[in-house]
This record gives sequence, C-alpha cells and structure tokens, in this order.
Amino acid sequence: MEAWYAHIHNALNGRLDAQRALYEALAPRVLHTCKRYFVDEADAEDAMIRTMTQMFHQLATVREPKALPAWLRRTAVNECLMELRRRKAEWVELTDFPETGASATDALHDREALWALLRQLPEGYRTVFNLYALEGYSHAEIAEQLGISEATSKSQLSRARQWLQRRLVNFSLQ
Amino acid sequence: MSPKDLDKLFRDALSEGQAAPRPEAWARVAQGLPQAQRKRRILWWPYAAAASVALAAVGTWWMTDSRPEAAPSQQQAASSKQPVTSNKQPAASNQPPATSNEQPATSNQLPLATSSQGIAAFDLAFLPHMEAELGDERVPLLERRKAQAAVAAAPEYALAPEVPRRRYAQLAASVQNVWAAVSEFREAEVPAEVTVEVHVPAVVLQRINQTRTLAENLTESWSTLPSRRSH
Repeated sequence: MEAWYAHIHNALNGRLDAQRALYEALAPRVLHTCKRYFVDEADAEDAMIRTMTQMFHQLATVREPKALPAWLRRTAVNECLMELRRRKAEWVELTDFPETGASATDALHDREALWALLRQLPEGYRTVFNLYALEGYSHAEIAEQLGISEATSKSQLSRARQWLQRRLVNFSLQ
Repeated sequence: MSPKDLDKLFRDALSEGQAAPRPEAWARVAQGLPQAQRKRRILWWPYAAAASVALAAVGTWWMTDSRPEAAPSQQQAASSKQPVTSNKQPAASNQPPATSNEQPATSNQLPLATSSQGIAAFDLAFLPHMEAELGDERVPLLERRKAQAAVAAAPEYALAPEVPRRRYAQLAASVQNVWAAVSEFREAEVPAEVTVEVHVPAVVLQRINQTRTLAENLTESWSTLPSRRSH
C-alpha cells in the first residue's frame, strides 16, 4: 500500500490536487524509463508527459492500484518506441563504434557510470538493449515492436553488448 | 563478463529508478487532463432524469399495451362497468392508480389497463410469434390491424393473445387504436359518464416516483454547483 493509492479516487473525481499528487508520485519513475530511451531530455519529457496524460485518461479502467506502475512502464516504453519509430531510427550495422569519449569511472558499480554508459550507446543499440536486458522483452517482441527482423534484433543486441563490454573491460569489475 | 552478467549488471542498476521531472512539466500534463469527468459530474443528473422519463414512458406503453385478448373477462368488465371497480386491480400491484384519463372504453381493441396476468401472458405469448413473416409489413397499417383482429377473433386463436412482430408496429397500432376509439366515441351515443382507470404496473410507478426524486435532487445539485466548482 503506497501513499499515492489514496489519491486515485479523488483524481478520478477531477480533483486537481489529487491529480497533482498522483503525478508527483508516479512521474519520476516514468521519466526514468523514458530517459533510458532518449539522450535528449526534452524527448524523454515529452514521452513522460504523453504517458501521464494517457494514464489520467484511462485511470477509470484501472482496477488495481498495484498494477499501475507496471502499466505505466509498459505505456512509457510504448510511447518511446512510437516516437523512435516515427523518427525511423536507423538500425545501422556499425562496424566501428563511435568513440564518444566514454569514460567509465573506476566506480563502475556506480549507477551513474552505468547510466552514462547506457546513454552513450548508439540509439539502435540502446533501444534493443533496453528492451531485452532491462525490460525483459523477447527478440520476437522486439522485432514486432520495432518493425525489424528478429535477426536484426539479435545482432543489435550483441553489438550493444560488445560496445558496453569494450568500455567495461578496462576496468576491474567486482 | 558474460552477456548474462552484463545484462544483469545494467538491469539491477537501471531498470527501476526515479528522475525528477522539471517543474514546468506538470503544466503540460495539467493541460491534457481529462475535462470530461468534471463535466460528467454536472451533467449526470439531467441525463439520468431524461432517461428515466423515457424509460417510464416506454415501460408504461409496453406494459399497458398488451392485447385485450390476454384477459378477455377483465376487458369485458372494463368496457361494461363504469367506473371500473377494484376487481380489476392487478394482483401484483398494491399501488394506487397513477393516472386517470378520459379515454373511451368502447372498443374491444383498445389497449387498456392490464393486469399482471396479462403481462405474463403477453410475455409468454410473444415467443411463438417472434418469427412471423415480414411480408405484410407493406400492407397499410389499418388493414393489417383489421386482418389481425379477424384472425384473433377466430375461435382457435381466441385464447392466445395476439402479438405484433415489431414493437414499433405495436406502438403505431395502439396510437391508431386510440385515435379510432376517440372518433368512435364522439359519434357514438355514450353514457354521460365514462371513467377509465389506467392501472400502472408497480414497477413503472416506482420508476415515475424515482424520476420525481431525481428531479428534486437535480434542483438541489444545480444550486450547490458553483460551490463545488470553486472548490
């Protein structure tokens, strides 16, 4: 039972304060998810706002408050993918990885360092890696969501892993 | 580091997390907030009231428009006795008659007040007539009514209540009946006083009362509306 459960009823009745409270409680998680997909903060914010708006419109259909975070995460991912599809993200087969000056610090277990690394991944790699490793999608689902072949999904994932490994290997991990 | 480990490293660190949105973001979310919910709160009562009135109207028509053949003896009583006495009270309805008007009771085809037995008979009798042929939809209404009356008058059909195949046909027919009866009533030599009691089924009467309550609540909710909105 989280504190924001109590606001759902009032938010449904159109109480602005309750809607605000619900937003304050849930938007940070959504924004975090969106930021994993977009380097540009504004893009992530747009996706977050669309997700939250959608949530307020569909709040009446939510039976279990417990299920709301998972629903939000799914919706946020879908919003991000929709935007990425709209931009026709290029699923390029990069042979040589762009040197973005990635500087994973010594404290690699640090979330910040991993976060920075993830955000430096080329867009196609990052999307597939996000979906597979962090969201737990299968290659079939990823292929369907992104409109690419399963083979492409697999190759993008392995290249993303290579890319990350290469930057992690210089540092002694654990 | 194996791919699995790599995935796990990132998943554990980054899968869940929070990122504070810019303060400006809320304004954009607030813009897109559903307005309909607040409006719905305001507009709910009028729609409900209108719907119940419509429902009551349809219900009244439906319940009172069962065929006279459904309860011949009672119809006889209705057309011969005046004013109608309490032996015609529906068994299920202990409510007082809701309306009383001047509709003439001379015609046997009149959709008159009906008893609960009449309703039950009507419901039962509806089933075998569901699949009547569509052909004579094209026949003018009045002629069709005559034909139906003739069929109903035949002895083998005397006990079965006659049920039209379409509700709108039934409605139109009953309107036609009232009209015909009114003109007949004007021309005929009628007794000085004819009283017809329309017994509304308890369900319908309850509906009407609910509607009245709703209307009262409506006035109240309108009067308290501004304070709610300013909240």
